Amino acid sequence: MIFVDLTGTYHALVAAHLFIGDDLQSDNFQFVENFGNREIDRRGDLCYVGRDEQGVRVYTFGTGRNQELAAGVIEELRNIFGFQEKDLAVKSMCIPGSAFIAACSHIPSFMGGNYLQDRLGQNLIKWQFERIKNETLRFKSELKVRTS
Amino acid sequence: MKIIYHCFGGSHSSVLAAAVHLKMLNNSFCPSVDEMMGLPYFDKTGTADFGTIRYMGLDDFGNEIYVLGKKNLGIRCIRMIEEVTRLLGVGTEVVTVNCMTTLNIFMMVGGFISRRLGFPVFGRPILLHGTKAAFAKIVNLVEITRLKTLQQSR
Repeated sequence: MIFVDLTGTYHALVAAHLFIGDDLQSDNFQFVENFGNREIDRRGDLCYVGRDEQGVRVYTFGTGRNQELAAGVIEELRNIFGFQEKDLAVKSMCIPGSAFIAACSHIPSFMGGNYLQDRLGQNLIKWQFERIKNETLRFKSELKVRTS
Repeated sequence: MKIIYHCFGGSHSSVLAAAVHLKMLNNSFCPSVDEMMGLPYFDKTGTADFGTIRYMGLDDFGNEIYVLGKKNLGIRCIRMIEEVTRLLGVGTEVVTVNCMTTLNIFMMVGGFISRRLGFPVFGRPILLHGTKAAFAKIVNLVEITRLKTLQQSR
């Protein structure tokens, strides 16, 4: 399971933790591993989050831009190799505001880019936490129906 | 093995490279306008085709050739394909080829006018001029790719 967003270490990471059933709240999400890790996004690596109760491995991926397109490419890849949604599912996060966080990654750290991105990310997710949670849990139940 | 040629729109340089790879075009001569326009997907794609991996054919070594329009995903697209195929356990079965390196200004402007603005009457002549100028580069890219895949499959 891959959560795709403009950055893989903010909204997508929180959603991934909620997906695997971690007890995240709006006041402790910033303490999860790799939260706000710009290096993972810069390298373009998949970020491993953990396994859910079914043993499904969950990852996040930061696309930098065009996350909808990236999610489509992943689905296409899965299909041409003969895999199905039960083997690899993709969820593109459609939460407004992640573009601002991604934009901050272009600001050099000596100009406060790191600080700005962190503050913005934390405040935005705190504000949008219930929405991320609802969307993730809804997706999880839909996926369960589709793949069962 | 699957070889994915990708460029911005997936309708010009990647299609041409795939066609050269599949020997739909003679790589010794610059193709005519009719030959280029006769290629599947060449200057015929729309916005819905972005992100779609389209099958072009099977080469003489049994490799499947695909084209992809990745828009402005850039090199992140290559990284993503590598990571996802590795995750699926098929990382060694795919080769991605970035055709953006063969583009010239005429192809960019012509392609933009033809596909994005929707004026193929104006865009195509510019695009075809640019394509002819870039043809040797595209052939070179394809030959390098064929050699690489040959080495990998051994």
